[in-house]
Amino acid sequence: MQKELPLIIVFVSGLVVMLAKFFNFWNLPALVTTLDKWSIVMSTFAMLMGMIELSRLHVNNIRRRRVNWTYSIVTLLAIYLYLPFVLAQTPDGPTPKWMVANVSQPIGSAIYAILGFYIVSAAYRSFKARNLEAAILMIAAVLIMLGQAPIGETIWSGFPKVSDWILTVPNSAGMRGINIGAYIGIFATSIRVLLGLERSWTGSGS
Amino acid sequence: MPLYERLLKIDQRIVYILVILAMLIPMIKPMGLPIGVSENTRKVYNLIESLPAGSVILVSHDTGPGNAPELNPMLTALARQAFRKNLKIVAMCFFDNANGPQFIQDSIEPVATEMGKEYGKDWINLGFKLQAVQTMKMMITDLWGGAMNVDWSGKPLSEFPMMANIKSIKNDVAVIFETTVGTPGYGEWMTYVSEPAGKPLTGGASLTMYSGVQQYIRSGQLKGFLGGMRGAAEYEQLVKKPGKGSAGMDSQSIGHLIVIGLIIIGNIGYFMQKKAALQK
Amino acid sequence: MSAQTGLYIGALLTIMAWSFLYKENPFFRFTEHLYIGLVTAYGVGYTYHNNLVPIVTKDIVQKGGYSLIIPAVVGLLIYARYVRGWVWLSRIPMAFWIGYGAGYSLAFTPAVFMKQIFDSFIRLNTINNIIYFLVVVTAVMFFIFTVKKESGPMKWGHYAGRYGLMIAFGSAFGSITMAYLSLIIGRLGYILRDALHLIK
Repeated sequence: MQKELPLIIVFVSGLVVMLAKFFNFWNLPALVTTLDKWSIVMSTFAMLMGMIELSRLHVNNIRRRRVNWTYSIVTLLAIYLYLPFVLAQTPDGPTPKWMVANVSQPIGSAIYAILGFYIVSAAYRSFKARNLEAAILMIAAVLIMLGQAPIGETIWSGFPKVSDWILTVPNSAGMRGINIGAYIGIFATSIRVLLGLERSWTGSGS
Repeated sequence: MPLYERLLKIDQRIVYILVILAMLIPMIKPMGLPIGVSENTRKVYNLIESLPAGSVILVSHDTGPGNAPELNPMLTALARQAFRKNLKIVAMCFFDNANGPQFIQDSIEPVATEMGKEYGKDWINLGFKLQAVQTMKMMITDLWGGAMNVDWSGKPLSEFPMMANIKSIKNDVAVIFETTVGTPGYGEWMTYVSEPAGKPLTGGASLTMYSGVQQYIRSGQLKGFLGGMRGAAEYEQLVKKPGKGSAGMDSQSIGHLIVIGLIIIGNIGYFMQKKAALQK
Repeated sequence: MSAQTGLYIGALLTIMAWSFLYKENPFFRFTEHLYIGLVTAYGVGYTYHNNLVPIVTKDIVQKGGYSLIIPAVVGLLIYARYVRGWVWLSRIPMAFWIGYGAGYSLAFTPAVFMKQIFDSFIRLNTINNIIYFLVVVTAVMFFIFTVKKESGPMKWGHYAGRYGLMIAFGSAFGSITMAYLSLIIGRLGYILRDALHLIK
């Protein structure tokens, strides 16, 4: 029962969605619309999961005095001091609005922007014409950069055309090849999940 | 240390300083390089331009703070074009609950105020929604239900006059405008809404997705495309109001030259090293 | 606090986060941990106002949608993972989402997927169309792992596919570089334009 019930639910819920797409008996499409709403309601009531897990992790860090445990205090204080303000004021209240604009967004953007520095460093270190494949990769990247940035057009008016051709012909076709492979992978995995052959999500392996 | 080794081992902190300088100098002293408008941007503009007054554009602004500099200017330019044509905007997001709703507000509100458009009458921010696929699918027939009947601040949709006539994507939405950094993105909108409901899908995305979306443009599943900050800058040119997208283009140019320069230096070093190894 | 003070704080936090580029340091760690805490709290508060309150007050109480109590209870089962002996119950909501997602993929993805296939079988009347068709086919051949590729058309298809994919990856890298540079531009613009008013 403990093992079978989740697998039965996987199969039935998947089957209902598939049948509703192709058939109209037993008012299936309406049932799926109801299940859509149910799915949202379920997620809503599971909303504390992330906060609980994060709190457990950081409380354990502090308890066990793990490396950099003092920063766990910052995270916990941020959660539990800020949450009452968001709950009391609604998301467009003065405190949440100020905090999002002046604290969350600047930090989030800045941390993500670090990738910008890394990608330049990565291009310098790894783009070497070691063989034909690497040379093709490098030349395609350089031509795309020159075609996209306005300076490329200023240097030679042909760069945007070359870059456009690379993007719309070989790149688009290569990406489509990758996508076809990915779609087939999605189908295969979905079928395995529905049939209960793929069970890694239960924590018991397949 | 031989020259090739110096060329191959430039300290990464020097690389970072070079990048910052390359971005800073054009900001302080702009070069004003011309920005050509691509066919894909023109398609987006023309699609919005072809809508009759009063039509509804459903915006899904799926970005976090990371890619906001690329995508927020697109939304601002869209608002400008839409409000000039008296179109209505219903905006929401699925990607980032902590920042997305505020991005929508910050990108549309100043343009609306400037053009005399009212919140709830001409545009609305439905905010972040859970379970993207289920919500999108629900909205095809029941937009209010998908939005949980509230806007981003939790106010009931019945308080906003424009929503009285906007009940479903199927009957009341003319175009879906998606700005995305990945998932949820075009894949979801295409699969669950635009294909089954027959609604045109357009918009923009971070340039990280530029090469990946070409196939959808080619097959006609995506009607035009704004590619990153460059796409936003082109759109700003078309709506005749240069903004943050256009302002960043000179820095982009010099930044690219630095990247290409570093790649060339790295390759010169590599071939010198190879030659030296052969001579030994 | 005034808007300008907020901008100064935002600029300072940006520099603190970027200090990581020099080396790992307490300023970066502080901003990182602060950010995680803030977005988690906001997310919970947001869901409370935009989902929980409308579901309970409007859908269940006002409209009498008492059937929604069922998914509410199923959703709450996710917390059973913290109760010894009842952990398996937390797999029930997961099972619903996973089955539902797999069903959706199988039911809806083919419409998009097939369009991609049909669009690949184009008239081979231009050089571009021929290149397009060949790159699609050979790229797919590259991803076939169940057939030996030591000789014949599979071997050549595999090689050609690899070159096609290299162009695609190179294009992706070029685009991604531009995207990531935009992020730096966004931050520098925030510091210099919005906070310090040094540029227009």
